[in-house]
Amino acid sequence: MSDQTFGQSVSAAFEFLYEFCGDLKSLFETFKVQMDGAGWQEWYPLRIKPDSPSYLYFGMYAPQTALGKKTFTHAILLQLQISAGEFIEEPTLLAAVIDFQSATDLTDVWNKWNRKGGRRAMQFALKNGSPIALPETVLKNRFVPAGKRAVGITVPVCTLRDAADVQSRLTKPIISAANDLGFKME
Amino acid sequence: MLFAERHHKLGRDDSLTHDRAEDLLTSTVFQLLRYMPVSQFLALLRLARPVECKWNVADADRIDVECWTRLNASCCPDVLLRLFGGDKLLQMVLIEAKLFSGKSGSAVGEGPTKEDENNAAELLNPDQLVKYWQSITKTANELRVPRLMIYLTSHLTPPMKELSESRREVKDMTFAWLSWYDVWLVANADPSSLPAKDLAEILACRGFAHFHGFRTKQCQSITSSGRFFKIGSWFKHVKLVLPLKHHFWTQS
Repeated sequence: MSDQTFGQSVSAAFEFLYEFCGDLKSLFETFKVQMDGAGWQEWYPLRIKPDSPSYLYFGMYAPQTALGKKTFTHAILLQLQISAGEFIEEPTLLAAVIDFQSATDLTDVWNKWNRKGGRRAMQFALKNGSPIALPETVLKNRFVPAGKRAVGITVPVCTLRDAADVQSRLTKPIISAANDLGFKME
Repeated sequence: MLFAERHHKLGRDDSLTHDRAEDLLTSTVFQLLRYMPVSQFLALLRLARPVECKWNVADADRIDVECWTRLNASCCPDVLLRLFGGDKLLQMVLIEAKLFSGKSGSAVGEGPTKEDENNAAELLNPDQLVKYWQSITKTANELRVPRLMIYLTSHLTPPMKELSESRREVKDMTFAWLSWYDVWLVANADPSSLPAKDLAEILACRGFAHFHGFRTKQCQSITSSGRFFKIGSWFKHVKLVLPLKHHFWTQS
């Protein structure tokens, strides 16, 4: 058992948290590069700041297109829950591919997206462990009301080992789900 | 240099050493690349993403590296590579490296810089990449050697706006974009080589490493009592002096 004082343990815990968030930031930078290679761009960045950790992060990806375009038929939403809760025991990422079936303003989607709605989607997707269609009731309930169809994927982020693992367990399944939902590169 | 970087001697945000940080990183990286096998150096050059052009890097067996070679009065690119096959010069590669700043002297919406004004007689394009490309053209043509241009930046994904601006200026420029993260990828691929290991480490210290796992897997548990501040005894020593009358103010 460590003979550190309580105060020293707390300082060490914070150092641990900063380092963890630094690695998490690196993970999502790698994901961004992989998504870029697949034709998707960060629309709202998942802002992980190692020196000011948070328990919850949001991010959104849209297909690469001309600068200034705001409406899209598809989007990928990311909700990263760090703290454990009633149904998760470790940091978990929900990636949801949304098919709007018509050009939709992503700013509006972002503004209507509630963290509780996202948590319900995460809870539903967790049951399956692999990509799963999200029911309309989950979509409409303060998550993505404008979405017509969606597929959700959950990944316990601490189990990701390296860039290749991110590619095979996160990026590829998401891109594949987007293609299954009828997304075609312009 | 490596040790200064490891210890963040330039500051984590380089607020005081902006220009120096860029030059120091460029110098350190290309110095270390010189000690690495040519095949790895070539692999890095081949990772560059061409901007609407064909990208062929010659099969060289030697690469000479020069930093800040003056091409003319106003052109001093960060790195000039000469690729050789035996004694024959096969290709010249210019590299303009950036850390936090964008390329200077944009061709769009900006007037010429002081440097450009001084060099007005040469009528070079104000766009930094285009200017360097034009400057190397004469030499490359005389030597009948193909030339390439690389824009090396800290972006994770291609800085499309800057690249498109340069592309619009010169249609036949063979240029590509490369990221410091790409340099890390190549260096990290060979952990058996000491220069490669140092290069990967230095870039990781600068935040240019791709995700390669969580470093610390266990957090020390906090065993002492979670309470270090107790409330409850604060008010017991405070004596309140209340006015005798029930109403201590009267409405006039």
